[in-house]
Amino acid sequence: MIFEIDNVELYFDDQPILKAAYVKAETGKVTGLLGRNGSGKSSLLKILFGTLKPKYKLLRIDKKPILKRFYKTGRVAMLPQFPLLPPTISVEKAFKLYNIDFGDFSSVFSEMDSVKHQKIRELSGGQQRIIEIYLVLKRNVDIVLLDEPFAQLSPLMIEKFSEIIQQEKEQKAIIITDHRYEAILDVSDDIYLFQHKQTTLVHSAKELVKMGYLPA
Amino acid sequence: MPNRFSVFFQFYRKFLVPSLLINLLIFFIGSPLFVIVIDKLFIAFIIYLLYRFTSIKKELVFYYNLGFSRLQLFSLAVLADIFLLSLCAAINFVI
Repeated sequence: MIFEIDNVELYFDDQPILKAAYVKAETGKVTGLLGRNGSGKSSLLKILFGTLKPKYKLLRIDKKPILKRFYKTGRVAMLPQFPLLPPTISVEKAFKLYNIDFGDFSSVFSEMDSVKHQKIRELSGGQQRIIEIYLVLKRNVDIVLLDEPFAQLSPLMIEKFSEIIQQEKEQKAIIITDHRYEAILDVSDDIYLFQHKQTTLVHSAKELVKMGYLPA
Repeated sequence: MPNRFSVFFQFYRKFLVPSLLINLLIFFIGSPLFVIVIDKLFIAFIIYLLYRFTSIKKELVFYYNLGFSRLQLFSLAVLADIFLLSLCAAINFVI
């Protein structure tokens, strides 16, 4: 399955953020988005998901245009930058609503075994984030959008999630953005750099240096 | 697929107690039915606007991931509220 978002044009208060941006993601691949703060990466994810309306955009799945907000199709799950889970919900309930087995989760994250009956608000920020990333990644959807998943995670957790991402991409397309560029480069099959309000497909870290995103 | 009623109830539960209290207050005052309906719709509209234009709209991403739209959540919440109101009216009538 191939997802393309094309001709994205976004303005905030008449200031252009994105102009003719294009990103392609496909089942079996992880697509990484890199770029400076304010370059439009998160906005593009929100536009794709359907919670931000740009001036123009064209979303296609296998060349067929999708006209309604994408989240209404139930084929996409998104991890936003902000906390996803309601603070009053229990961990067990969150897993039940997302239709995901807590046992599978605790077999990978054994240190989280004891939180099953706790409310989300009783967990640390890092613990909440681990649960949120896991729930979104494991959702039974065609495409997963991850906005800065690694921001609050330790290197060990980043490694664990990188493995899960590699497993999950077999059944779904994954788009990920984060400022930890090493992790993004490691986990991604394709990389788009957001620069000058546009997107460019890049093939190596050297190219990122040449384009001024990474220091020489 | 998760049980859609459970997902909706997770959204609606924070409105449940305030809604019940408003219903009790309305029946205690003895407002006419059309005033009650207008009050309820007005409150629902204000809450809808809050979820559309303020930062609490972020909460809805949890439900969007489960295939719900904002309109679906609010339509169901209004229906649930009408049911609750009818229940309170019936109890009030019996008492």
